[in-house]
Amino acid sequence: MEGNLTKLRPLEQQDSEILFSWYRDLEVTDLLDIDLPVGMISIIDMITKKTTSTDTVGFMVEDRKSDIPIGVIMLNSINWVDRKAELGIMIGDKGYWSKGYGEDAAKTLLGYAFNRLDLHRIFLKTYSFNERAIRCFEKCGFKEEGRLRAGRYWKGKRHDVLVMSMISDEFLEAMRNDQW
Amino acid sequence: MINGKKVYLRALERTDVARMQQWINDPDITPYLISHFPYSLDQEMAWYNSKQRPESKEVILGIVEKTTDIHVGNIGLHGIDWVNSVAEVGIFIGDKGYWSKGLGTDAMATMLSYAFGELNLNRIFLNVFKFNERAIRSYEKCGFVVEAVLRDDVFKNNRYHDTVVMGILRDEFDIRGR
Repeated sequence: MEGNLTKLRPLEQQDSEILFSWYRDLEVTDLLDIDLPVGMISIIDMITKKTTSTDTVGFMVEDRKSDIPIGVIMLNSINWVDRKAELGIMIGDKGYWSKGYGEDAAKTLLGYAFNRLDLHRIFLKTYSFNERAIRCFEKCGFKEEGRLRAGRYWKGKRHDVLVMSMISDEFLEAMRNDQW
Repeated sequence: MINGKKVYLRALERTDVARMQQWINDPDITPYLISHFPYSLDQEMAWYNSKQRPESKEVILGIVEKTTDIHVGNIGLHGIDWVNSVAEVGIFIGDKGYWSKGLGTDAMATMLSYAFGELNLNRIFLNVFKFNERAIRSYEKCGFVVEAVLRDDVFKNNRYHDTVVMGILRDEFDIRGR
């Protein structure tokens, strides 16, 4: 699946090394919900789940120009009755931060989630101190639904967790207005 | 056993499973449950068995009415997040004869005093369907406040419904009143 800056392809077993390097990078995991060391076994297990289970799916995010893998994006806990899923994204290659690659990958995944999987609601959680992520998701069209107080301990203090979501109607509306 | 005012909370036993299976298939109860599927006795037993391993991420207890010793419902802390000191609480009174008697409110307050006072947690939250106004009122009585409204979060009875997320922090809970 191609966006403007990125393309998404299914995860493969041989991606385990690069994923492992990102999940072990403290700068990368600092703003994410990863506190305990992630072992290679968990990475391999994750790749297996993302490619065999029907309630979760993950893609490698690649730079469209160079085919270099720069991150990973996923739909977690897909609920086919309620037609909802949680979006998770990590740009592991720090050279690609703050350049619109995450936004492009998220929009591409939203197209897949709504147009291909016919999901109704995509939601995500992020932390109040992760301003770069919040801006990125706002640009994608996500709306804030609330703040879960003191949901995250970070650097000696408790912080809020933001819940954001997009409903299929909002996605279709944005497509019609060519904001995509 | 954890003692409340009108109820006490105790570990679930094998002999509770048939009763619980009746509750979670009761059409007066299922509109308020997250699950969309009927459960057989074997499935409920398998669920019960899966909870018998030592497990520090979850505490599921039976709610027992004190004067009669009748098991009327369940309450549980789920997905305990020890890094952030957060857990989700879920509750239901399965025995309809005991609805609207304050047992749920008392069970919740009892669980909160256990979560904050014994497990050293800092934040307890819950998800409740927006149409379940009786439950929301009960949670407000315990001190929960509305933090988020999840739009079209669940499909029930031929349409999408919002879910309300409510939370309470340790500092907000009057533990001495318990």
